[in-house]
Formats: sequence, structure tokens, C-alpha cells
Amino acid sequence: MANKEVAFRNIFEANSKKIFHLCLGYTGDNDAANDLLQETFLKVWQNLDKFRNQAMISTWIYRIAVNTCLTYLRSEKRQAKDELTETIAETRAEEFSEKNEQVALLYKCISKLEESERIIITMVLDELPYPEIAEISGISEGNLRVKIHRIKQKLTELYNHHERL
Amino acid sequence: MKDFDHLMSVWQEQPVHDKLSVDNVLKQVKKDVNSLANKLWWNIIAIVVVLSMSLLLMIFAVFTWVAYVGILIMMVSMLFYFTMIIRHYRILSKHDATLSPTDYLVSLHEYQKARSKTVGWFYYLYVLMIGIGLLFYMYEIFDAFPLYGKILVYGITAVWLLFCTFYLKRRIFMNEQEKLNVMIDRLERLKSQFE
Repeated sequence: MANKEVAFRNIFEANSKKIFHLCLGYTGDNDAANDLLQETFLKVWQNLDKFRNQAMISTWIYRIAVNTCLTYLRSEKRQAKDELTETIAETRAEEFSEKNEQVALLYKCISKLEESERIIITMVLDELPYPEIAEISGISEGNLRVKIHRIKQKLTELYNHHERL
Repeated sequence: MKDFDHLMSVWQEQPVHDKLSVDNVLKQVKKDVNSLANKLWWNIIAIVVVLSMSLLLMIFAVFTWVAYVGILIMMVSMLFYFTMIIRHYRILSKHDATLSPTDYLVSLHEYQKARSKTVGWFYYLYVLMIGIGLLFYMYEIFDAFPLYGKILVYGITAVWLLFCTFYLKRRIFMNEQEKLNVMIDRLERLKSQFE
């Protein structure tokens, strides 16, 4: 148990920031991202004994986080909240206007992408190698490269469009 | 006009969120794991207590075969219910969150469909069996009651079972069904996005 706790702490310290960004990119909401982060690490804790180094630990955790984000639905309140992702992201843009307008704008643009695109692009932005993203998302590498190219274009266009507004 | 590299630099320079504390997460994780286990244990304990009481009643109380048949029918239906809870729990815990999302979504989709079907027909069978068991049991227990007493007891029991089946059950499962439907729609949409 003590070993498990030490392992968990190390895993959390090494991966939580990126997983939080993934969750925030998916939901556009800090509180929801925190909930998803906790849910992801709850599953990590529950499955830690099953992890047999068959994949990199970060890939394994990303997979759990992606699945947690995809099945993100706990209550009606959350469902309603989820549909307001864009509105939340816009509110975030106001909150961050002085501090980090560009980050907020980037999240706002990510919120306009489709769910799977949000997840893939956050991994690209975090510089995960393509084979790892392919493994996490369950898409073939060839298909993924095409997808990433399209998402990058879409996101850049969205960003430039909103920046001009 | 910004390019994607600019977006990368914006992303990587974003501030770290304050709420990220390993102690808080660890505390929450342990709390959630305990609450999940507790919930399951309470379900198991409740059903084991009721089954044990029924068994003691069968062993120590003196009835004719009618009441024994009634208790046995109720015990069998409770055993079915018990195995269903355990099966659902096992199916749910079998869902490996570490699978690729497409496999994960397919397995979740199948589970949701199976569960909505089982909850539907199983509940009616369960209530029917409990009703028949109670009828046999009460036939003997309330044998000495006057007619109006029998009507009252049978009436109240029937109303309670009907209330549970057509009002309470509907309310409880409607909420779950809504969530299941939303989830299924969502999974289908996501599946198409990954294709």
C-alpha cells in the first residue's frame, strides 16, 4: 500500500499537468477539468496493480484520461454544463483578458473543435510523439497524420479569425 | 497572421493550475474508492441479511408447505437479484479504461444496451415472483384474520407493489434511462468522429 502510494505520487507529479490540460481542452471549464483529472487518477489508482509495463506509463494514463473525457457524463447538471463549453470558454476569455489573453483565446478556439479533435490537438500541443497519440486514440498512424494536419489548420484558422475580432 | 508554432508556444507557456495538489487528489481518490466499495458492501449486506432471516424463518418457524413455498419463491427471486447486482458490478468493473477509445466505447455501448434491457424485463419478473411468494406466505400467516383484515393486508401489499412497479421504478429508472440515452448518442457521435 505504501509502495502504491509512492508510485501514485510519482505518476501524479509527472503527468498531472498534461492530463489537466487535456481535460481543460476537452471541457473548457476549470472545475470540470479538475473533476475529470480526479476521475482519471481514481482509475489510475484502481488499475495500478494491473499495469505491467506493456506500454509507457504516460501512454497508459493518457488512454485512461481520454476515455474518461469521452464518457464524461455524471449528472444532468454536468450535461447542461458540457453543452455550454463554448460559453464557459468565452467567460474564461474575459477572466484572463489581462493575464493571459492568448491562452484563453486558444482554449476558446479548442472548444469550437469536435470532441475527438480537442483531445488529439491537446496531445499534439503537448508534443506527444505521433505513434503515442495513435496508440492512445486507437487510430492508425497514417489516418492520424491526416487528421492532425486538418485539425492544426482548423485551429490556426479559428485562432487567427478570433484574434482579428 | 499566426501559425501553429505560435499556438504551440502559447500552449506551453500557460500557467500551472493552482488546484493541482497530489495530496488533495490522493485524499479524494481514497475517498471515492472507499465510497464505491461501501455502496456495494451495503447492497450485499442488506441482501445477505434478508436472505439469512428468510432461511432462519424456514428452519425455525413452523408452517405448512404453503408458507414454505412462498418464502422459497421470495428467496429465489432475491438470489436472482443478488446475482444480478454482482454481475452488473463485475461487468462495470471489467470495463478497462486503459483500452483504446474505440474498443472502450463499443464495450460501453453494449453494456448500456444490455443493462437497459435487463433492468426492464428483470424487474417485472422480480416483482411478480415476490408477489407470488408473498401471496403464498400471507395465505397461511393471515389465515385466521377476518375477511376485512385479509382484504386490507392484501390490498395494501398489492397497492405497494403496484406503486413500486408503476411509479417508483419508473421514476428511478427514467433518470438512469435518460442518462443512458444521452451517453449512447454521445458515444455514437464520438465513434463517427474517430473514423
